[in-house]
Amino acid sequence: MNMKRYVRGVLATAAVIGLVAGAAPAMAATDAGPSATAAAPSKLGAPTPVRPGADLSALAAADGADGYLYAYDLPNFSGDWCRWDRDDEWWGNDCGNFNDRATSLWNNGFPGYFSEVALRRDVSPSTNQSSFCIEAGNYYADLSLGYEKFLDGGWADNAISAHRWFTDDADYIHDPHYAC
Amino acid sequence: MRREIPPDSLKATEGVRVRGSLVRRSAVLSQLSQLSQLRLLPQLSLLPMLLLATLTACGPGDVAAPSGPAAPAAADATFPRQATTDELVTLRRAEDILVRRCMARAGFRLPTAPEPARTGTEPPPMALVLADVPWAREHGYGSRVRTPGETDRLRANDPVGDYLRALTPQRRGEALRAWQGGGVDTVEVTLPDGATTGRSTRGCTSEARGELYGDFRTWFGADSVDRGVTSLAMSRAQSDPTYTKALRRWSDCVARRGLPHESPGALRAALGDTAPVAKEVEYAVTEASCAMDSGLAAVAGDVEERHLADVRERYRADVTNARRMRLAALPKAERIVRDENASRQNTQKNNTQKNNT
Repeated sequence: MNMKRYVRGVLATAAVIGLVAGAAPAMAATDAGPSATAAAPSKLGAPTPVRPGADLSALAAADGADGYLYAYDLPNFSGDWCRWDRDDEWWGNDCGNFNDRATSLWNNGFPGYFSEVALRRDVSPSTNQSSFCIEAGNYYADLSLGYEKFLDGGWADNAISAHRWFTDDADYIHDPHYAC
Repeated sequence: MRREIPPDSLKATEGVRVRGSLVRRSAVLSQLSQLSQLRLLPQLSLLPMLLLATLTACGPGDVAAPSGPAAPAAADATFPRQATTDELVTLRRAEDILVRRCMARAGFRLPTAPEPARTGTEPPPMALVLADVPWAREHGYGSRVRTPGETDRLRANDPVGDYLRALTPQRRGEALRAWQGGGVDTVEVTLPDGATTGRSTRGCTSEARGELYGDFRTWFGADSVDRGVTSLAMSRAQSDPTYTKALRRWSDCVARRGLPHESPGALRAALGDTAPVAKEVEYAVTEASCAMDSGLAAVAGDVEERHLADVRERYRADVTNARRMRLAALPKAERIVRDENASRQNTQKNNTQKNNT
């Protein structure tokens, strides 16, 4: 039985409720093109709302000296989890196999050098490898709601297999993922 | 190979599921109530007015020449101009200086970090594909790929990292909380692609951004969505039929040259971020010359602009706010950087005098 799939079903339903209301990720729930996304935020002429977020303080409290990348099996930092404070090219060996499982993430790494994390889809260069990045301090609460997360447009949910820390010293606006 | 969830954790997972769906539903409800009652922050309701002022004041003549070779599409002229790469560097430096001062106030005197090595010319646009063969021949992929030696040197010269590692675990934890806020009082925003991203409003990093851009919460939303707009547009461009058709010709071309990869992204992933110069240049030149030969270069710019314009329009308020806030922060950022440079020079002068006497 796949508990996670069921959970995603519940959340997808919630996302649809959000879409109908015109408040949730208007472009996320469908890829049907401009006409189907009439409820996009800018139609309201207002910026995308910023809302109170998750309380992550309990996650890191167990370890005074933190600096880890955290990954959770379920949305909103719940379920099985794993964490790393250095590069790992294969999550399959970690925390009883964390390959293709992460749905929420928090980069609680130290700012400065090697503070950003590139999350990779596949570990073998011969396969369809891609990545996306998370800045130190930021979190992704629910990858199952976004459907275009890797740089090549592929789903990021349950698809991360590896990561590496890197330094973004070339923050070019024309290509925010230049160094990612 | 998924790990089976052990039976004894099922109960916990069940609880999580219920909690997860409740959390999600209440988030949707709070968004609804925000929209229906228009209970927006005062700053947020002010911004559309700023935005209007910008739009009326900012005709095409105000749009500065972009630092990259890609000319701004006509649609982009209805937005405030983008900050140039140099301006972004200034903003980044000012932010670093403010963070450092804030950390000092919190009791952590961070050593001076080496300036990031932004050597060489600014790279041509290469979000979808690198198409500048002469540049590729000279620079490879630019600073996105380093030689093993450069990576080693970068890792070795990390005074801030050394400082942190020398602290006791307890102090190190305190430093991180002072820096990043420890995960409390977070705010989050839904990105154009649907993902939820957030960060703590506490800590020196967020505090510095608030100081520089006026209001952290507004800045976080605008900046995140603005970057998300680019990401989503790039994703869409890559699945655009015009692009994928040319991409197949590109893929055949690189395969004939001994690098069988489906996309520039896959080719670069195969190269990695650390490689000897000759290998980097080989990959970059192959990518770029095939972009020219296959016609991918000819369509990539148009496809990219079309999707950028489309998604930007949908998130007009956020894109406008983000650009506007960057431009508005510039004078302050320049002042902060200038003052810091002056005080550094004074310190150096004093030290030199001391050493001489």
